[in-house]
Amino acid sequence: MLSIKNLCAKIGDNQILNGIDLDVKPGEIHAIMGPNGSGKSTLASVLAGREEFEVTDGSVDFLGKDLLEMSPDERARDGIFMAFQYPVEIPGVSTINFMKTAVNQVRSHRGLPALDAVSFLGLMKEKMKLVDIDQSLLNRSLNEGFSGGEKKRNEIFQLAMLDPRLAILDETDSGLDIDALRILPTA
Amino acid sequence: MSKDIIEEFTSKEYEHGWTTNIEIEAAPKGLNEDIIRFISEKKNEPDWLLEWRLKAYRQWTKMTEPTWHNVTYPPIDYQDIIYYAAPKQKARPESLEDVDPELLKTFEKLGISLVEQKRLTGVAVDAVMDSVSVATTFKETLAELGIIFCSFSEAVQKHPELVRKYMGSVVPINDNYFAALNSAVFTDGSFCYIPKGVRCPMELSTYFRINAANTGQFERTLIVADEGSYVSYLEGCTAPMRDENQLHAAVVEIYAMKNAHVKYSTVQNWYPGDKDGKGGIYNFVTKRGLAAGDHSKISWTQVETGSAITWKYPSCILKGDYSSGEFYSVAVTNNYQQADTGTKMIHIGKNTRSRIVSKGISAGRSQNSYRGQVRVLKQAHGARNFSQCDSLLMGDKCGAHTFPYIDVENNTAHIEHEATTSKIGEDQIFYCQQRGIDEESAVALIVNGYAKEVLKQLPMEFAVEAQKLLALTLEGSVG
Repeated sequence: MLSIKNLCAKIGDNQILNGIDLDVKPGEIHAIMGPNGSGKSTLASVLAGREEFEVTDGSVDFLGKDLLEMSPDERARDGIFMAFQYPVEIPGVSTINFMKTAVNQVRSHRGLPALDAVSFLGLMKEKMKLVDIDQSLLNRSLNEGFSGGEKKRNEIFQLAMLDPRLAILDETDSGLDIDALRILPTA
Repeated sequence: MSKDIIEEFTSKEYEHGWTTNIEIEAAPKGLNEDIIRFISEKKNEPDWLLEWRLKAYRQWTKMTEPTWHNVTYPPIDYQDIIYYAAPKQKARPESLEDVDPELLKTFEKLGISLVEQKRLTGVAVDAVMDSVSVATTFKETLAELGIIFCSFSEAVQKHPELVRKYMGSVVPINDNYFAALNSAVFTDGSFCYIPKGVRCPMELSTYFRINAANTGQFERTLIVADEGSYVSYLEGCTAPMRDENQLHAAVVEIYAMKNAHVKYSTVQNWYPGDKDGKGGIYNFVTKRGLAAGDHSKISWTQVETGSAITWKYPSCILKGDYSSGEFYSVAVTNNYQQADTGTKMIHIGKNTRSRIVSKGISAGRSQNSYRGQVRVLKQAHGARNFSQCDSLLMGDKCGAHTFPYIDVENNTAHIEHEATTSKIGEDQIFYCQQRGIDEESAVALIVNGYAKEVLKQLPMEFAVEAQKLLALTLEGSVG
């Protein structure tokens, strides 16, 4: 599903990734571990498409497409989800409204009709129960005033709603001495 | 007396460039007492109104143009403007296919219906179309309730006592340079009177005041709400409006009596000039509401996205005890647009309240200023004010400025002021993109979230169009 070959990337003058190789097949879970500064978050950011990082060599193939040629939203619509370590706040935009926009753009890309308000609410209720997140959090502006734990839960909720093919979870706050980056396909 | 004037004119025809035919289409350029007499005569106005205009003109000649604003523009040559022109008989397009495709694209994006598109571009609307019959039914309903809603000119003819009583009572002729000019040469506008205890059952919109076209330049509007009445008035349009006349100096007066509530909403999308800042409308407007009666309320909501320069301060004079004023504004500037806008809340009566929510959005190389004044006079016991002025900057070549003035002469007043300045973070856009939302939709989502508190004050259909308009105005402003 995901095939990374000799990936090299830098930010500014700092060369951070020096030839990463990784193959992820459907159903596999990969945990990438290493001390701070080893480049785990950089790898996640490069896969998600952050522009600050410049790819200097190598290739990334995702479901037969050249991932590096795609914009961040194109990658997302094709099924890549990255849970942010520090999710940003967007005032005035409720999580519900945000999710509806995202879900329908992804659906449209997949050739599915947009969900109307009723169907969307149904999907939301289902996923809310699954992730155990409170409705009140979802009515508020996206991540505004959320605690660390609430933000994490919100990320997982969005993952459940968007139904991606590949999820990248940056878990540098897991409390272990060695931090972990989990890359897992989700069916 | 007027007959002599006309004879004088026709004999001087070659001197002033007039044609021999008395049915003249337009006055020659320039402004002097003769032109004003001509305008008044053409409109068949009573003497008192001509005198009013002349008084305003004489006042205007003694005034100087203000210079304290935070906008720049080349000096206006007031003698290079035509102050009277009969409605233009432009060659009407046969169908929408003859209309500029760029304009049609904008209409599509704003979700404007085909019927509305035809009306806006002058394409003849089929007489059988619902729009005409809707307008007629509308007028009948209003008449039954005793509500007067017509053009200003019509009001002068049919309801002169009302016009004479209230005109200039909220914005006197010497109020400011542009108000004086407007008072001298105003063309037309709306007049609205709501009788005692009547709640106007529908949004009053200039759309229904047939003959709304071509009144833009020096528009004069007067709304009088009698005791216990309510009206919601909508001005403007989300469709891009072009006009050859660059200077638009309108005056809007609202008079609210005891327990009356007037809600005035504006969506302005006048031509803003091109990407290099050439051309565009100068929107210099004086809007003021007088909450004269106890427990009266006046609410201003504005979405300003167009014009090369927007310079206006819809204000409230809170004279009645327990009266209240509100001001909600989203002002967007892009490319080389400039805005210096805000409000004045003058607390005079006892236990008055005011609320100000201003959201400025700057993009491109534009300059956006909020200028507000909260004044509490000595006798205004128990006054309360809340002001929130937020600025959103998109990119690093635009500017946002805030000039709040707080002037309190009574120590029982409670005044709150909050201000924020923020940028649309690349982080926010990236977050949206990572969830599958493309960049433009992301910007629209974030901007609408930012402006939500103001947009929700607009009547429903207008709010939907305004949201699209915001997104459209800011298209291409990121990156």
